[in-house]
Amino acid sequence: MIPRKIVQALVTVLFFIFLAFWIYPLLNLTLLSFSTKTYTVEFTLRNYISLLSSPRYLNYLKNSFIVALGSAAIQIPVCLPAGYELARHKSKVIAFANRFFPFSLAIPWTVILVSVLIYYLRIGLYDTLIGLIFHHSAFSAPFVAWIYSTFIRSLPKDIEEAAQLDGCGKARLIFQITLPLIAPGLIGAFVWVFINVWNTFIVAAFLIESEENIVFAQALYNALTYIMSGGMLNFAYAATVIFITPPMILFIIFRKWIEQILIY
Amino acid sequence: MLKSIRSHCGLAILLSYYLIFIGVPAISLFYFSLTDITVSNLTNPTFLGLTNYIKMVSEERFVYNLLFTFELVAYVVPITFLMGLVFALFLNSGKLFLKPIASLLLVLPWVTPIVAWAMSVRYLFAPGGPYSILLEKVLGFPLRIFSDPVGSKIFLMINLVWISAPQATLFTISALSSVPRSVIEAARLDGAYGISLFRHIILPLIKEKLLIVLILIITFTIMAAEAILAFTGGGPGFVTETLAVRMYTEGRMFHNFGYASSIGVFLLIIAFILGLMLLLLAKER
Repeated sequence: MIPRKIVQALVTVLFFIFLAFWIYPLLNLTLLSFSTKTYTVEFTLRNYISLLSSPRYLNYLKNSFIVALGSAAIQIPVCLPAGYELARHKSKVIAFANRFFPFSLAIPWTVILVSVLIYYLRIGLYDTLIGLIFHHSAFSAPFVAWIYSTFIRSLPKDIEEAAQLDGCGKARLIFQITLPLIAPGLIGAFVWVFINVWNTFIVAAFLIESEENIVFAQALYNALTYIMSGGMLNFAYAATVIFITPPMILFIIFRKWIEQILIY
Repeated sequence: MLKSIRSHCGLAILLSYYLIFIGVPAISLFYFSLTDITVSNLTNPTFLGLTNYIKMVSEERFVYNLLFTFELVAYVVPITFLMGLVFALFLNSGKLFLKPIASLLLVLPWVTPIVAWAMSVRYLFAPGGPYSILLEKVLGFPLRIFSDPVGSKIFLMINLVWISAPQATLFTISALSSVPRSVIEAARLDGAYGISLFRHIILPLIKEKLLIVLILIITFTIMAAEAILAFTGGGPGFVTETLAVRMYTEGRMFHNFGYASSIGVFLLIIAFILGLMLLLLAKER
């Protein structure tokens, strides 16, 4: 029998080796983004300055923000009523939804993107940001509704009943009692959707074509294919660092609430 | 009756939204796969019957794609699953002095976009990059990862494990958290430790949940178009091209929507079978 301490030490080492392999490339990339030579580190802000003064990249940034914010915001009106019903009502349909919705993310809907592309070409949503928003938000809607429902379920019913006894109307009940109490769930889900949408490029790669509507992740993917043959590597690195920043900041601020969602 | 309609209103809104933007395209994928639809005949495609499917199974490249998809599953899934299990048990095993940092680092890969990750790793292995110089010293000959078939396969697999192991760990942690602490403490008192504790106490309790984790990892690996496109782009040639990537190149690059749809249907059926297994395993939570 191998002593327990040794096993634990071995796993610890393995774990941190794994993390080092994950972190080192990103660290390297960040360092090199301040340099103008491919393999040597120096410090200059030139890449960042030229990036942030280039209207093309600012446009990518703007598009990404529109799509990510839009997809996250549309979840609230679409999913909140459903989430409330999942938590508070009982029927066969709702029982099935409660069982199915948590796994709705496991359905690989990238498979149908060809079909979505054909539809969008037909109805004119192709190459528009709003089409991208519709697809992203519909994809995650069941899961987000389920997240809302877990938060609503954790609220005691007594609070709502007490408020109603005191003469609180339906609208007021929702806006002044329920919503503030489930704010962590709402914000957590919002940030979760935002980060997911921000990071994904495959949907945009299918549905967006023209230069003015390209989102940031897609632009980086396009850059990836030709940049490796040389060229403006450091510039691309600086773009990558800028690209990573918003999700990282959001994640660090809202960490607790997102982790509740990730470990469901 | 009226009350039951009223109490399903929100659900109806959600489901119709889902149906319009996901359901309808998913169903019509089956129809498109039977036609020769492309950009020039969007509204009136010719009905071809099973031609696309016959082309699919008789095409060498498709068979290769299918085999490579299986190969990927065979190598990536077990390693990812085991790593997730070991890390989850490790993070779950009580007091550890670096635990907060470890759990933070575990979630960070999810925040990091795949493109950014690919950008940084591809540089390291590019000709003249630090890793390829190191590899050349170790092997004694220069290895061009992105033009060498075996090299690019291994490169892709390692990267897939790296990006999916943290997620597997998270899933496994949530499975482990369903085991009551009191059960583990009681087993400890009776002298069960380490591997025997896991095998005889924890494993029977979470067997079904671990199976769910396994199915999720398999699904993600089969459908991982984004990661493969970013890491190797399916190349060199089509050595690292899985079915999902093939669908992208066929549909997006060459505008063979009909043929891409038939590959999509094939993948959808696989996903459906895996999803059915999930639904049967999942208890209402």
